[in-house]
Amino acid sequence: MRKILRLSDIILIIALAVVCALTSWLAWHAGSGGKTVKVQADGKIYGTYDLDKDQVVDIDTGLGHNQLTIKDGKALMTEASCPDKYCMNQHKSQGGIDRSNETLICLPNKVIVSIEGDESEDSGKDAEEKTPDAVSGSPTAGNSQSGGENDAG
Amino acid sequence: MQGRDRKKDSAAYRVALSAVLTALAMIFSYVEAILPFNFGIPGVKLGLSNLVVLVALYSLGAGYAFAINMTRIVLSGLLFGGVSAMLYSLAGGLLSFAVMLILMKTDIFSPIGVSTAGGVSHNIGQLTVAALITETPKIYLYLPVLLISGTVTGILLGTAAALILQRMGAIVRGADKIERR
Repeated sequence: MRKILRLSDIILIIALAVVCALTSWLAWHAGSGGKTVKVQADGKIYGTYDLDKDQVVDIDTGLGHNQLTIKDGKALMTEASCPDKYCMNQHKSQGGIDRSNETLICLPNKVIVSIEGDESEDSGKDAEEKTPDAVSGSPTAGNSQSGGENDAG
Repeated sequence: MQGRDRKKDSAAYRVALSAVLTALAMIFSYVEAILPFNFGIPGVKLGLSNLVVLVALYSLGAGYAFAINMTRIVLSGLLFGGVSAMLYSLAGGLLSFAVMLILMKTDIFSPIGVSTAGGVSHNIGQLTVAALITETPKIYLYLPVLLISGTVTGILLGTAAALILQRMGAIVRGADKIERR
C-alpha cells in the first residue's frame, strides 16, 4: 500500500482552503443593506414586505406553514411546520436578516426569504398572495422529509 | 487499484461483499438520520455512507461501487428521507462518484485526496439542485459553508477509508487463501 497522505493531497487541500477563504470573503462582502423582505414559496413570489415595519407574516403553502417575524428592521423565521426547523435557527444569533446577501431557507416547505436592496422596490404586495393553488408536487412528499437527510440546507 | 485486483476473486464473492457493504451504508445512513453530526449548521453532514462507497471503489472497482452507491441512495431516500431528499442525495452522490472515479483512475491522489474532492463535489451537486428546484441562484451564497464542510468531512472519511483499505487488504488476502485450499 502506498503512503496514506501524498504531497498531491496536501496541495489539493491547501487549494480548497484557498477557494473556501475566497468564496467566504466574496459571500461576506456581496450584500448591501436592504429595505424590503421578499418571500418566495415553491418558486413563486409569495409577497414582499417592508423591513422597517414590525409585522408577523404567515406563509402557508400546500407544503406547510412558516411564520416570519419582522421586528426592529430584521426578519426571522419564528415558526415552521417542517421537521428539522433549520430555517428557525438561520441567522438567529444576529437577530434576523437585514442584508441583501442573507436568506432564510426552508427547503422542505420550499420557502425562501430574502432581502431586497433599496433599488429594486417592485411590487408592494404581490397579487399571488395567499393563493397556493398551483402548488406542484405532493404535499406529503415535502413534509415527510426527516432532518438527517435534508442535506442542502 | 488495478494491480491489486486478483483474478481469483469470484463474482459470488464480489456480489456478497457488495451486499454487505450496501447494508453497512444503510446502517450509516440510519445512524446519521437519528444522530445528525451537523453541529447545528444546516446542510452539514458527515456522510458516513460515503465511506462505504469509497472503500468499495478501491476494493471492488467502479461497477460494484456504482451499484452500491445507487442502491444506498434509493433505499435510504425511501426509508429515511423522502422523494425530494433523495433528489438531493442523487445529485450529490452521482457528481461525487464521477469525480472520485476520475481522480482514482488518474492515480494522482491517495484516498484522502479523492475523498476530499468527492466531499466537496457532493455538496456542490446538492447546492446546484437546491438552486434549480427553488429557482434561487442566491442559494450559492451558502457555498463557502458547504465547501469547508465538504473538505473537512472528505479528509476525515478519506483517512478512515485509507486505514480501512490497508487492513481490508489483509482480510481479503486471508479469504483468498481459504478459497484456494
